[in-house]
Amino acid sequence: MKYLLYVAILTLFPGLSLAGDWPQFHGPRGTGVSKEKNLPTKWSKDKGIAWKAEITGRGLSNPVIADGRIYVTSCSGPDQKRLHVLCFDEKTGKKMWERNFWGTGSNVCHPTTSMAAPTPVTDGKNVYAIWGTYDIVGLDNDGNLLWYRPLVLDYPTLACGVGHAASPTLYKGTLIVPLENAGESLILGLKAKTGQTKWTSARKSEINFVTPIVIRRDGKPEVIVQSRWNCAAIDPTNGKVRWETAPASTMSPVTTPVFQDGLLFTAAREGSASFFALRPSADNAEPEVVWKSRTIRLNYVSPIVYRGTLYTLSDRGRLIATDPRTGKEIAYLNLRENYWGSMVAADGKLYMVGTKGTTTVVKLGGKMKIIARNELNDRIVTTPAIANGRIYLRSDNIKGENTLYAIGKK
Amino acid sequence: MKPTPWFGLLTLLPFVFASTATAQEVKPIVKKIEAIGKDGKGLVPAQKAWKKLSQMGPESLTEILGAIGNDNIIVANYLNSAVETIASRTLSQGQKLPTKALEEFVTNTKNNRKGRSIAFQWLVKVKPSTKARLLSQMLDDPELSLRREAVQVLLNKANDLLEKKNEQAAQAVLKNVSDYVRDLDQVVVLAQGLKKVGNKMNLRKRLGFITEWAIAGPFDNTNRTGYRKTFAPEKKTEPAAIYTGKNDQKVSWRFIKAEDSVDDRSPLAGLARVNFNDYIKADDGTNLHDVTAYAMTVIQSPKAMPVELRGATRNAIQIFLNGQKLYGKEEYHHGTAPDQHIGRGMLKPGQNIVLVKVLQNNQSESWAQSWVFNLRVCDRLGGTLPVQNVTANVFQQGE
Repeated sequence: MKYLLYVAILTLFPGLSLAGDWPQFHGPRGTGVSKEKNLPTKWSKDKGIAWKAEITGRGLSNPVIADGRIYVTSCSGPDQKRLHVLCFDEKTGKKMWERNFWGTGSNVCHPTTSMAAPTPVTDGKNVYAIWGTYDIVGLDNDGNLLWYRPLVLDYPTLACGVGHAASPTLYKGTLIVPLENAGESLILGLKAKTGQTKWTSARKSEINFVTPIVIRRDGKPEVIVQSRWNCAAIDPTNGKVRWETAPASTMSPVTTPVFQDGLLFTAAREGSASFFALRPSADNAEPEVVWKSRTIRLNYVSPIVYRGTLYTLSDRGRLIATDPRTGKEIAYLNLRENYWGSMVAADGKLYMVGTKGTTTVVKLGGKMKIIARNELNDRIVTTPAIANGRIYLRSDNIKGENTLYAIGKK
Repeated sequence: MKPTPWFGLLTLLPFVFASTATAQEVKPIVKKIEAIGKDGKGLVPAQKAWKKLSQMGPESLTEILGAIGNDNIIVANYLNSAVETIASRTLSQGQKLPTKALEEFVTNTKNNRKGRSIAFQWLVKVKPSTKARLLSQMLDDPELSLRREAVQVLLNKANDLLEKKNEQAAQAVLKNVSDYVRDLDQVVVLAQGLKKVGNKMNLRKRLGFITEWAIAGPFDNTNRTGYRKTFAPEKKTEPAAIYTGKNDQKVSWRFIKAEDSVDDRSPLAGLARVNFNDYIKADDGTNLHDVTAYAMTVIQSPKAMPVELRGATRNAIQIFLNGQKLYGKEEYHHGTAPDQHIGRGMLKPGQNIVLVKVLQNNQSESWAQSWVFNLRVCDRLGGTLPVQNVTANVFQQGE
């Protein structure tokens, strides 16, 4: 019954997922914000865990959740070229199915990452996954193969020796696949149902880790892409560039920007500032710089706008709350931890997972306050997922003994 | 909404009609999958073909496995996915997999390699008792993943014996498995084990690294243009050749020996490295930028045979065999994993010229100064070939 309702909703509103789901990297609409309430705040290895499930092989991709199913990608084998999609029952953690593929492209990456770094995306009915080998697959929610493509067949120069990590996103049946790399670089628009190429949008040849987001501006959808080279908006229906910032080689090639109330908040690496609030213009000219900051410095963690405040977290644990309209710092906390995965916000709190598996929970509103530090003593370098009253964490122990943790009530 | 009984029956229809495949039925399906091309051409008919395949019954598994072949990964992934769907459905319905047929498929090494590895996985999943027995016969298996598992059994055994201080027995096990180890991580474990029992392994020789080279450079790579240029050494590789290099410099071949160096990132990354910065420098002795260099080695082969030329470098690289380009990757300063660059080709009987083009860009960061590579010559599985390096003879060692 729930499935039929779900299908009906998806038919009426393509690209949407149910309120409690977490369908892609950084959650619904890629903002890092969930509407979930009454989430757990305290847990440990032995307490507050609804279930744990073993994951085949390694991976830094985040779990995605829709319609009672959790999808996780991973890779295994001495060359990491055995690629896996796993589906778990959200309620019990029981593995519902696993599908395996052989990878085709280069398997070279930094030892701290793996071929399973990009997060899959789901519309509830189907799930789409890509790996660092540039193999991409569409499966339905029962694991039936819809299509498979080794993208090196089309683009033989695809190469990212650090390890491809940018994740795909969906817009109304179009699967938007970022392929910015050292070889031929592009954003690829695929017909999600069939895997066929719908459009391509050329990008500068540079390795890049930024996951695109789909925003709506002046009633029109735009895919925001960013690499070190520039930030650009692409029409998701045809791949044409609507606007772009001047080429500067200074933007962040890692963190995903966030769009709220007409402003795009995005990080930079060098140049006049390390963080910008940009206002894209109505006539698609170069965006106006509304404010910029040298204090906010982001390496890995994507920013969040939550309940009218901009939150940023440096990889060394400097958490800053900023007025998004003015750039004025409101509050600051030093969490004294290292962060790779992005933070998420829900239930009036921020959840931030350090690389040693400690989740710091910060209560928001007025002064920011640490209300819990929950240790799992596991290597977690991924972003949490929040769905239906639980928080999901995925570990990536380099030895390949990895766990999907469902934190919350049983 | 309460599901009606007919709705339940409809969902079962594909399984009611599940059938046993024959080669005549599988072949046209494979053809549809083989037709998949660029931009997703052929994906829609392939999807229909896959659906048909995945609705077949468990008796069809070996027929489908047999159609996987060794050469087309798209076909392998589609067919494997159909096998997984059929096998999972069969088990979830409480039915049995055809274990006898699967075992026959696994043990026949004439069957395609990937198909055998899948058959093995399903077989040991439903009949775990077969695992040890089958692996004991797979030390020399042509399928690397099966060989790996068989080797691991003995490496684990040797490790247990070492922990029990039974060095003599451990040594015997390690020597027994030594000839069959191919995966690099297992070679490292083997070498560490042998070291503990007093046997030092010559990793360079064991892995087929090339230690004798002639190098020539610098040629231009300003604005990273060198990768697409065909410089003179790609056309003419005579030892006495004199070329015009970057800035009209006279360039000739120079015989060198590759050296080992410590590399913390991997026990193998430092083996038999050619560091161009040691030989091709600026007049003031500093590192060059925007440059291209070549390294050549001469391999004597007793017969025609397939070869893999496996290299590691942080720099852009191209690998040629007897004038034919086998491999190229234009990426700078990302990783030195062993075997990250693989050129596949055929050795001819007699002398074979292996030419490696390695390019340096203009990055100024300290970590971007590396202009180093290594290369080994091996078979499809990573084992050494019965070839001889005759570069020293050709280039008159010491000159």
